[in-house]
Amino acid sequence: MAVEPVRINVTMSEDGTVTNALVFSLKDIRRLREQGVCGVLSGSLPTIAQQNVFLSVPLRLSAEEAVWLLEKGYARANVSRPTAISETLQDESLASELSEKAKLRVEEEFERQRVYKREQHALKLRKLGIEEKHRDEDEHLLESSLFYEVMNDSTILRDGSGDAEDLVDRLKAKYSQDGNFKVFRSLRSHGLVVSPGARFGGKFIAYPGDPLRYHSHMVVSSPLDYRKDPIEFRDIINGSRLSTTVKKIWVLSGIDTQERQEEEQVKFFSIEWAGFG
Amino acid sequence: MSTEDHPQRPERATETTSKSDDVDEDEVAQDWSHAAKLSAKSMASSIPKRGEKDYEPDGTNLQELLLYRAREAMFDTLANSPRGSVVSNQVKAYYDQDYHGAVIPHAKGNFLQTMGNVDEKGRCWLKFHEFVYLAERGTVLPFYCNQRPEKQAGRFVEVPLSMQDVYSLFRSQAEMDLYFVFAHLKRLGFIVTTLDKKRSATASFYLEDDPNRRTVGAIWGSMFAFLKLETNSLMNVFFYSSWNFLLRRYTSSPQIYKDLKRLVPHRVPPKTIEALRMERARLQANRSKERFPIAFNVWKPQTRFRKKSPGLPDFQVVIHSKNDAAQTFPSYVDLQEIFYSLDYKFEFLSETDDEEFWINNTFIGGRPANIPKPKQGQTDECNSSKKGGKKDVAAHVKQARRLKNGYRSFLLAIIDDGLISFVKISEADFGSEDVWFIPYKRPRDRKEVNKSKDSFGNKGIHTTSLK
Repeated sequence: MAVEPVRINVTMSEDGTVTNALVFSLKDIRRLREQGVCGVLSGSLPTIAQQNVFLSVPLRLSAEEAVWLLEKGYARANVSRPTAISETLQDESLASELSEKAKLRVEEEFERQRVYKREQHALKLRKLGIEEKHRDEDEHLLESSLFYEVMNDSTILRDGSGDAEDLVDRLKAKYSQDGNFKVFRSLRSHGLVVSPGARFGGKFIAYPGDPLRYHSHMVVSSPLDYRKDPIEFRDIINGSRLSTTVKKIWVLSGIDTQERQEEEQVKFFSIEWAGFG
Repeated sequence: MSTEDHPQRPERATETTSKSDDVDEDEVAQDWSHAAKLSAKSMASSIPKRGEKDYEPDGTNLQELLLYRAREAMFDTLANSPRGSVVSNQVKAYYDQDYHGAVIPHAKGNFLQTMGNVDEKGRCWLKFHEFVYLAERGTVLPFYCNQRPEKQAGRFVEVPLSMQDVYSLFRSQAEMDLYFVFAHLKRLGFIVTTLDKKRSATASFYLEDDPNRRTVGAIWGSMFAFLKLETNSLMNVFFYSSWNFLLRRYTSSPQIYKDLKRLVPHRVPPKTIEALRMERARLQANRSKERFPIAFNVWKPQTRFRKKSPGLPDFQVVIHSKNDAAQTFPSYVDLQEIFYSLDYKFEFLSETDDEEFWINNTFIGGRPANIPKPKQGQTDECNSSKKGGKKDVAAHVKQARRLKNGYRSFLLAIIDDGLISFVKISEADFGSEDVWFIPYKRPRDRKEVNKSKDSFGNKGIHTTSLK
């Protein structure tokens, strides 16, 4: 499957820490979704801006998702710095070129809208049986009703991904311990769709397919050290009772570093509150 | 600490109230087809219901089709929901790197009621998170320019920014998280401001600006604290003797509970204005690096809001990013620090939402905020009038409420990779409440509560701050 990798965007701040990966292109978001990486949409949806249920781009990827995509080669990172834009636009000729280009694009778009609106207007008049006349105030209204769109994808930022090499390490260093990535990888290899699970008291929750259509079945805990860490009885009760109440199963995960094969290192145990007797 | 979701979030309310038949927002399918209809009709106000979901993929074409439709609905909505504004409403905002915010030369629009600062030249300055929020809604158009717009020399070049550009300007993940919480609350209709570092200009519940008053307060506070400590823990242990149980004859269970209670040291959280001001003195004067600073002041949606004199906020929000390896959940000491620094409408002081009470207790720079009244006596007067004029609720109900709601509280926004959970953390006082069952003596007995079994089990959770 030799497809163009998805572009994920990361900002690296001055102290070398990185932000979470964001995706702006709808095409890329769709491709990620087909691969079972859903992320979290977190921008306001402009047409219904007063709610938090339906959100729009950017899509925010968790560190585990980003690392998984990068390691599998499904994504390429675009690392920029907060100052990148002003640095790029220091170059005045480039700035004016971009400015001109943008103006041209807007004008083209406006022209398209004008044509469309005039057509619609003419159609409406014909329907009502009114004769068409050219009036200045109509033109004025039309001009002021043109829609100026803010684009999602950047035309300024270049794909300068010189820092992309150690991005995986930086993401790991900033956002979680190694075990979480192993658990994530293992869940993905079982074909599960994974999303953040703090609301259910776990590290992840796992879906059997696209969360748009399927309920999740599992609340997966943060990994323990398989050989060393004790399991708190209270954790088992808390996790299993809460999960059962929300129709899920509590999955305890552990990393066994003595296993040679990395795929074999992650162990899972499912715990259900039986409520028996 | 009572844990509950944000009261104003409709889709969350079910989670805490009914356990059995409901499930969280991601559990119920997000039915984007409803959103698609909504956005076609543009400004519909209700939030669409969500559709049914299946248990797991069963390989049928029907299921594939449903999934396909769900996805199409979602991506159609996303694709047909352009950002931006029509030319007549166009407001251009220019990013300013030095200010790390944006400036609007000619500002207009409703957002000015709650956001932005207008300077003497009539320009409106937006903080960066306000800029991103408004750009994302399409209310302002984001631009970059090579110089500040007032110098309209020939070389003025403006370049439109895309959303990707705007997001690339975030200086750290912490700033981006702050923005996500801000946007979340704004979308719910709340009025949200960040805390100004120059505290003299902002409304406060405390008279803290006066340095003399502060030191006196601090001394008093520490003396008071010492006394409190003594009465609560030391004395009890001192006067406790196991002989008590042999010498004394207990004739009822409350007597036993009372004696047992003496053994458990507890700290009483401040409940009155005086106690709150005393506690405030413990706040260290020089706190440059707070681990958990208060991120936002939040007001309930209101039309009378004025940026110049907003009054005390209804809530205060602290942000915790769960997945950041450098952060841990606030410890007891962190929580105490947060509690000391809280400065909002302490709702437990006034049982009804009495405006005058809050006006009287709001200070700006050490002086009463709006209505100039003599400081003497105002607090007492308000206190007494509050206690009287409230409709009667049974004592045990009141007690249950006190235990549930606690006293000072704040909202902790926990960020888990883009999903935000709001947790209310409050100081409760189990130590002072006698929750055991007392057989009827008189009908108006305060301490009567039906649940006797919880009396001691709960005690440890909230208040045993062993010092």
